[in-house]
Amino acid sequence: MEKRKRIASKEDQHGQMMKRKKWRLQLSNLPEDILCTIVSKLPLREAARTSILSSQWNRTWCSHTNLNLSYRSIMSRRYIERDIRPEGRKLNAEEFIRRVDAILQQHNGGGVEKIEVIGLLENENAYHINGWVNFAIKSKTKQLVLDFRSFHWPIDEPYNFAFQIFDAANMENLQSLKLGSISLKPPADFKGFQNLKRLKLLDVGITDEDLQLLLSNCNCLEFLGIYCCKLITSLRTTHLSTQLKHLYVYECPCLKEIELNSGLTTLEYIGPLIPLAPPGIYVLTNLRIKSWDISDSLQYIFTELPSTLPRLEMLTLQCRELEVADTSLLYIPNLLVDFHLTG
Amino acid sequence: MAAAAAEATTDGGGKMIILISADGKRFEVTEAVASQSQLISNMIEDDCTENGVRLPNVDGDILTMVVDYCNMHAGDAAAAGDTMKASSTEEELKKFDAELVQALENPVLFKLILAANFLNIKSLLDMTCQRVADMMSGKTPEQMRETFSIENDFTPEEEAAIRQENAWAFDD
Repeated sequence: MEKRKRIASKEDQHGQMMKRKKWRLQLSNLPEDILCTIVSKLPLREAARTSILSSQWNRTWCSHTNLNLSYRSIMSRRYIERDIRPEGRKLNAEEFIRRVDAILQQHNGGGVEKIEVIGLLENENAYHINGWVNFAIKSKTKQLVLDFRSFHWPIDEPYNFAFQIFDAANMENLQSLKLGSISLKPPADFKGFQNLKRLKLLDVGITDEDLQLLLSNCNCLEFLGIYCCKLITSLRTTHLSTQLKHLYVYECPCLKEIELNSGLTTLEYIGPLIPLAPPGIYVLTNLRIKSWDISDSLQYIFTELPSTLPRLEMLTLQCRELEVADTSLLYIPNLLVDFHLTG
Repeated sequence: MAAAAAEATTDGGGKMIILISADGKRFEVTEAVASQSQLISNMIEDDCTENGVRLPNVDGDILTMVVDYCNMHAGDAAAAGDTMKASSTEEELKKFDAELVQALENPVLFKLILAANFLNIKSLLDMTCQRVADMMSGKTPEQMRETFSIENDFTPEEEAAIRQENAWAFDD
């Protein structure tokens, strides 16, 4: 206090001119919303450390707009290491939940761009996860990621996605949803995510009918990715509007057929080869197929595809062995065929 | 003022706009270049740019940088009028952006941030804020205070309490 007084009296002696000359614009002089923008560009852990800088900075990080909540981002190394033992895994989940709860409780709850929760969680943690989904809705989050996939441990009972929290009025901000190792059972009267543009399902437990129901009113959907969903046997996107431009289907072991919608421009498919499209003309320009048994299906690719995909520009085939590869059979203008032989 | 409006002739198919800095410096730019500022874009829409656009809180040296940035990034929007600009590749733009903010002293960088915020040029605001975030990243709180002249007004007890509250962010 005494020190500050001394400085003040010095400035008085030199007069106002001197004072103005010495004044330099500092970071702390910028408006609060700009400081929030800056802090949001830091990883969450570093952002939270700014709380200690000064009283002005104490709560700036609480407006962080990009909440990456993963073991890597909010747990220290000593926790991650104990993950090797089953009991350690349970303790870690508890600590992770405590930390996520504490962070969201401190957050001011406004205008969040993205929330990513990546951890080893199951349905027994549903109470907390539902709370986070609620937070996402209230904070008008545009991108939500709930990825509970585990690469080391089997999941006893996957988290049941809380559709009941969403209603027509509160789901309008959500534009992108990515779910991993979650069970999806939309209620019969589910109205779809009206403004959802991107949907990614990874190892998600969902039946054909429920997927139809889930997609039925997603009229803005542009990107659909379905990865390792073991219950899916048939994928129909024909009822979707022509907004859907990109479809990615990877390693769905029970999938027998895909019905495409007519507006699709990119299709990436990995898995055993299955008929890709019923007769009809598609505007697809980019097709990537990775399959082990592609050789058996060359006849189909070379004779059926040209008639249904006249606008194809890029065809990428990845397979183990390709004995007969007479691309001259493909009569499509501007087509570039790219073969990758692996294995 | 009327003379300035008369000078603002069309060039290369785009209408010209005069921007006037706080210290009276004048910058003539195409509508396409100026429209990257949401503020000016709105003014163009409302026909409020006839007599030049006065920017009372942007100094000439800062506005020079802003205009350079907008000229460089006019890209596709100005393609019809200026093929040279349209041809600047993404790589060139990245290099230009990096050089623009790299050498700036802190107060100048902060003034540029304020100008980008006032003019509402999102990409420039993003880039300049990113620069500050990059400067903060990897520093201890003490180093951050030093770099950005932040005065620690906490008592040791208060500081310890905050560390405790956000312990997860401070353990390694």
